[in-house]
Amino acid sequence: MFGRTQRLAIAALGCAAAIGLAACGGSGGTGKTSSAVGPATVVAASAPDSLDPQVGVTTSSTEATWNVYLGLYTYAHANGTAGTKVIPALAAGLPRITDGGTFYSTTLRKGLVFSDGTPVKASDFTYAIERAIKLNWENKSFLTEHIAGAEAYDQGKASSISGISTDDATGAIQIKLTAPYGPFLNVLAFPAAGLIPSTTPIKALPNDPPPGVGPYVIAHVLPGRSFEEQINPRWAAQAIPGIPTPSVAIQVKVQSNPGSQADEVLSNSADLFDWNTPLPPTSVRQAKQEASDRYSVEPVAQVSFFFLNTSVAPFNSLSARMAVETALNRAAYVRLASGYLRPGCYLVPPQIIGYSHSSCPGGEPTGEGDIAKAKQMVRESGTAGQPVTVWGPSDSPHREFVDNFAQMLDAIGYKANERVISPSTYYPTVAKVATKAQAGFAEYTQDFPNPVDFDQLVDGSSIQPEANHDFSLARDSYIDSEIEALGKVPASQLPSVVARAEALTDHISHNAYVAVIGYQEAPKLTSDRVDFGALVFSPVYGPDWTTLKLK
Amino acid sequence: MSAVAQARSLPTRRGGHPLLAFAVRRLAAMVLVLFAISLLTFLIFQVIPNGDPALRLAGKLATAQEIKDIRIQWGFDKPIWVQYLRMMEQIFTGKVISYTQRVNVIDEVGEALPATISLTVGASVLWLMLGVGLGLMGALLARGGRLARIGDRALGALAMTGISMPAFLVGDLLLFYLGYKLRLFPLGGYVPLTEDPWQWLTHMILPWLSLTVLFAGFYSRVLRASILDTMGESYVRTARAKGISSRRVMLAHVLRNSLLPIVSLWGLDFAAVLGGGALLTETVFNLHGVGQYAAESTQRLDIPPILVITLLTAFVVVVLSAVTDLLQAALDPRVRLR
Amino acid sequence: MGQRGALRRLLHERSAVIAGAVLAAIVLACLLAPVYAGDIAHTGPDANHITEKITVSGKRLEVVSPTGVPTGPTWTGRFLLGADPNGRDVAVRLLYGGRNSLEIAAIATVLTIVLAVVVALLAGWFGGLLDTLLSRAMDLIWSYPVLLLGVALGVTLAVSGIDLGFATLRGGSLLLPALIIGVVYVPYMARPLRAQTIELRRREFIDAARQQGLSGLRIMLGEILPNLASSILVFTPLLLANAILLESGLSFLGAGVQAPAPSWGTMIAEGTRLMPEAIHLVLAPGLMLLAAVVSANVLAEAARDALDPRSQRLQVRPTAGGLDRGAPEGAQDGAPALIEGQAA
Repeated sequence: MFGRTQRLAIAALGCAAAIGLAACGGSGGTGKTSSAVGPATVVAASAPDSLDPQVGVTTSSTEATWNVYLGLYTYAHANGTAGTKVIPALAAGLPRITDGGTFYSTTLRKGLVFSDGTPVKASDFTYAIERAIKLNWENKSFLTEHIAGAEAYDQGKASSISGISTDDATGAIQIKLTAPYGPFLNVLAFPAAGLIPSTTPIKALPNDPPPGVGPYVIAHVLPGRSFEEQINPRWAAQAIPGIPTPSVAIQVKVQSNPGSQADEVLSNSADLFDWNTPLPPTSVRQAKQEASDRYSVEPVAQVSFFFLNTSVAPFNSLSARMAVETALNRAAYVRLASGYLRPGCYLVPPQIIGYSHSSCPGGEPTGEGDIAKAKQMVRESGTAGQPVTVWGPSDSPHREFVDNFAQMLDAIGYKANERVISPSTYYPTVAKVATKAQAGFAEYTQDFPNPVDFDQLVDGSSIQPEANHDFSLARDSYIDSEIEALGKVPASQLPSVVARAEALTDHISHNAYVAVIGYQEAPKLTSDRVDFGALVFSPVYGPDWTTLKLK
Repeated sequence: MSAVAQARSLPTRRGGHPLLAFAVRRLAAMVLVLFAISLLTFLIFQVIPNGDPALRLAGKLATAQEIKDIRIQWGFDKPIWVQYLRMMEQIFTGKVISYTQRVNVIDEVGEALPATISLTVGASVLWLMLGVGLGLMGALLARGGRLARIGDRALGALAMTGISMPAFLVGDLLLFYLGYKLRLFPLGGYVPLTEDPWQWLTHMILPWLSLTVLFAGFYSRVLRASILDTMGESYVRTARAKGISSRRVMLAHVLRNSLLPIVSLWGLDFAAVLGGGALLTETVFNLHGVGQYAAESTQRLDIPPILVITLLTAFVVVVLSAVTDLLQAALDPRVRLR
Repeated sequence: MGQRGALRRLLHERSAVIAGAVLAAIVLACLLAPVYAGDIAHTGPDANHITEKITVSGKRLEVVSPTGVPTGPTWTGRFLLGADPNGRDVAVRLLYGGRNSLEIAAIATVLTIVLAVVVALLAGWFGGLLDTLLSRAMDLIWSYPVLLLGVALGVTLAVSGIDLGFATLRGGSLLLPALIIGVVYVPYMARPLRAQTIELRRREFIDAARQQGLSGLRIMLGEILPNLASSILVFTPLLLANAILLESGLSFLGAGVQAPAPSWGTMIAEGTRLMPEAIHLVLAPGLMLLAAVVSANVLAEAARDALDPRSQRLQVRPTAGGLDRGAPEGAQDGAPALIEGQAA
């Protein structure tokens, strides 16, 4: 989702430096000796927006909830592309998809119980979906647009969702979609589709989250400061293939100063550095020198780019857009991102199926850009001297990104202006077609690992006056029809359409609808009592706490 | 005439207890002030940004229908005055929910209060002590010899530097030199007193120092001037002529009278910081107090928390200024409660 | 007391002369920013050199390291005070930023003075309903915490800009923070001036003027305004100091000067983000700002002493949250020494 990144500007959401200290090990030695099994301390930069599975949407939330609220499906606990694979969780197997991709049927595993001991019923699935809709989960449109009858339920025209039928006796679950929708399996893997008892009240419970089925149970929530994930005592008995049984409880403390966070992990008083924040440069140096065996940089399924509005001058001209692509100094953005950016020119990130392996149209993506050539291209396109207003959010480093981009536009012959506004209003503002933003920064973190989730950013058929997400206003019939076709491919069958997805990615970059800078990366840094190699870094949810083992 | 001043000029009801009349007048003034402030805040945030709050709330892949739903659900389709009344009702029934985080704002402010109270109490004591100490020293030096007057000037320069510092610069410098370089103190954050008193203290020292640098200079200048003024007054000269020792005169008369402006100043500063006024200091030290919550909420254009916090600030200031006036009256029999 | 005598006393006050000189030097340096940028640093305020290398005393140096740490001061022509994260010359930005900071402060100061004088004269002269209305409006602004009001206006206006009827300010305009700061400080000045006006209105020479048949407007401008001059004179450096401070506070919270325009406040904010690695990003603009504010404050104090040498007394001015206090005692003297609107 847009701007749903992890780096909050001034919104330092927490502090609680030592709540954890006291809990994690008596501020030093005493705790460590008393119990070999943790808890392990995770220092996080931002608090989850909500620990209620049917409310939380930020990466800090899903990182915490995906192992607490399993739904019918989840992601493989594996690194890299392997970790983008959907596997059955509470469902006994992958669904049977019939009726041209509009009918999903599956069965619940037998003998499942919630962490409080309540037996799991098939109808709890329906309840979770209904609860997410009623609580206005930010991404509820994934449910209301695709499940038959969910829209009517949302609007209060129906008392239940007609498209979902369940049988508590047999555990059968059947879902009818309004139209074929390939990524629906990904939707079912959202923590928001995680099962909760049907007795859970329909109100947000961020501080006292309901029971779920999963390796962990959330406890002791101090909003904005800390929370704990204890091992679900009922998990081991019903362990599900592919989902590890955790060995250690997790204590998460929110502390927005990355410097002191890093210090704590480097000095082994905390165990895991939060992936949502880049490591400050001094800590990077220190980590590389003193902790190279427990520090690495991992890719995140995210793309950062500048959109180029194709409906107004000068970027209605392909050669003007190509000039930008040619001039882009990606090395500069890497520095502005403190090194946590993998330069690239494709809208689909590397670990997602559909990432292209051909060469970039504007030259080597790691290069510093060819200003002279770009200037020539601008001259030839006849757009030289035109004013361009570049929009951006005012948090760092995006503000600096925009400075750099505007400066580049000046250098290749435009007259650039900047409009940098509060991050909370930025996306709604540029998503309004009437704003007529000529160019601007955008970063997009996947909703789920599926190429269409990225391709839709240039989907001309989705353009709407407000809350539009095709910021470039690209209208390209090839893209639109390919998105439609790829969108019907069930997530489990994606590997069969790799070539087609890659061709689409190439097409987008050769038309330079967006000037991609690259893909954000995240630090993986642990204390030396953590088994670094065993800790999985999920491409979807970041460090996988269930695989965290203390030596 | 301010609403307040007008309330003050009402004739004291005959026979009524002066303290009661005082309380009633202040209460009436408070209601007026809170009303006006809430209205102004609401208008600034609801009217100025041309963006529809529903759009900010709707999230990214929102359909037009969803935006419409939110508009209706949150009442953004209603006339502005209905929206205002609705929000005020929610605030006073404790049911107000923030736009961006969708949490109960009153609870959030409650969570943030301990940090802010810790900051206020510790810092205000420190800055008052230092301010009074330096002011007293300055006044004594000012009446001394040549060398002493140089000392007075040095103190003046020091005070002026403190007064002229931006809050975040003070914070940055303290954090850098005492935190990063010397590693004497943690780099920000707040630890509840009940959790770990020692950690609480080490986390609070830099923020306290920071506010002290900002405020003590001003206090010392005010006190110094006030002492020098009082010393010139006739009753002090009389006392000295009567042969009362200058030390006693200083303590019993001069200081006592000169502290009057300091007390009211202190009360108001205390109130301002307690009500979340230390936006910058709380943000720099990441105390996660009321002020930081206000700063974050303004960034997000999140009206409910901003309204609640401005009202809180105003409320605390009104109450504490009443308390200060009572204190003043106790200190100085010439002051009448108005 | 003659105002010429006051000027002479002011010039004899060493601290005032020094402060004035420092302030003048800062203003001059900022005005000469293009000269410095062109002839010494050879770069502009927005030109980034992020992926370039420079040679300092024989050593090749990356302007910004691959992990994003900008180089510190080189103490040579290029990057005299180091670079910022975008590889821009801090010294150049410091001067251009000073222009913005000072420009905003100056405009805000003038605006405050004009508005405050108008409000004070109207309220003080006419009294009655007009006085009540204006005073209540002042109270409202006054009772609002300065910084919170500034940030609130800054953030909201940055999104939408403002339409003043005769002119439209776009979201990124420098005039926006100037306008906000100018308005925020009006009550601090208008209240004492109003009290002074009321006091003057009762004086004999005003009565005399009235009996001569002079119009209200002429008396206000010809008789009362000159008598407010010394207060205004003292207020000017004081407002300037506070405007610079408030601008930096607003910019620090993202509600002041908007990118890419530099200002001292935005520069410090950026430095704070990179703090342990690049303290020069905080120190350079921080010390410059401090020098300017201290000078203005010293000047204000000296001006007050010069205009009213009998009194050592400092006026206690309302605090940022100052709410329930009528016109401060002794406001008739109208010569404040400090505004305590310090944003904490």
